[in-house]
Amino acid sequence: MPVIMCVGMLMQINPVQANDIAAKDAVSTISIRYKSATEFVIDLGVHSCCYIYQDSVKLYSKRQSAEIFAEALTRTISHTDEYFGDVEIYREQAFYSVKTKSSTGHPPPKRFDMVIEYRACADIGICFLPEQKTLRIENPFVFE
Amino acid sequence: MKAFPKISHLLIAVTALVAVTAGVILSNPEPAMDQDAALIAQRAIFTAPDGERFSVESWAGQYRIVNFWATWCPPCLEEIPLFIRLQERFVDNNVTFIGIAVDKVDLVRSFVEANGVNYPILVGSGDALEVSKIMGNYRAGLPYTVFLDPNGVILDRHFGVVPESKIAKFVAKILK
Repeated sequence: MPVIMCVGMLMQINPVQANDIAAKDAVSTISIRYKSATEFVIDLGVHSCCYIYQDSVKLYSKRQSAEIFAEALTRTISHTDEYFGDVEIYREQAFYSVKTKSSTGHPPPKRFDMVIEYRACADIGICFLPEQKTLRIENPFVFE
Repeated sequence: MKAFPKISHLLIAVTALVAVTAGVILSNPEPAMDQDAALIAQRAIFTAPDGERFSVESWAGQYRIVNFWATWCPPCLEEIPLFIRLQERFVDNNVTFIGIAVDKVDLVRSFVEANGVNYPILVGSGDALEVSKIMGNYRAGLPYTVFLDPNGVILDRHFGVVPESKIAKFVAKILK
């Protein structure tokens, strides 16, 4: 089992490439790296032109029986907006550790849909419509 | 004889530079805008914060500066005080600003009331962004502003915060 976990930590499963995402998006890639039956890491790749507002990032499960607890692993950068003042943003990448739990007391869910929301702007002074993407989580460490 | 290689090197360098420049330009073409589709898009009906319904075409016959914006977009909010000031200045010049918010009505209503916006504001959600795309917003970002003549023909457009000088030039052309 530890060997499988190490392999899981090294490989990236279910990568979503930039071409799959709407071209007018600050996020270039979204990758999921499964670490164990109850934990995975989400990696948002951010285009060099753009940044994401930390307080806009939300991750939640679409399945009621699959609870998730997300924690940011990336340090934010302070940014001053003319109108909103001092805010925290992500550039280049944003990692989130996501822990899963079954709300029904059963083993952790193998598959469920997770939603990621974020709001981003580009340095040229334009902002993009708030994004909402659904990712299919299919944890290889959970056996049915 | 010694000058020949230098000239040939120079020619090669210039040719390479031209080729690279052309390549860069050709690889980043700005998509052509369909003026007919843009005219049709101006008929799209949106709701004003007070519940009335209008389209950009409702102000046909006037020069219109149509600004797509949102309350969640900091650069959008940055330029609104300028629009308020210029709307007052150009009110007798057949020029009107129209704001189309890609947003929620209640948020827009609060913003408009709190900031004394003195020009028409319409509200849409994703459909407003689609209309902006048809009107040339191929980057799908906000703010985005188009300058229309009284017939709805797009005379100019701008991505990001519009400099005051650009609006002044537009109005100066009209007043000529």
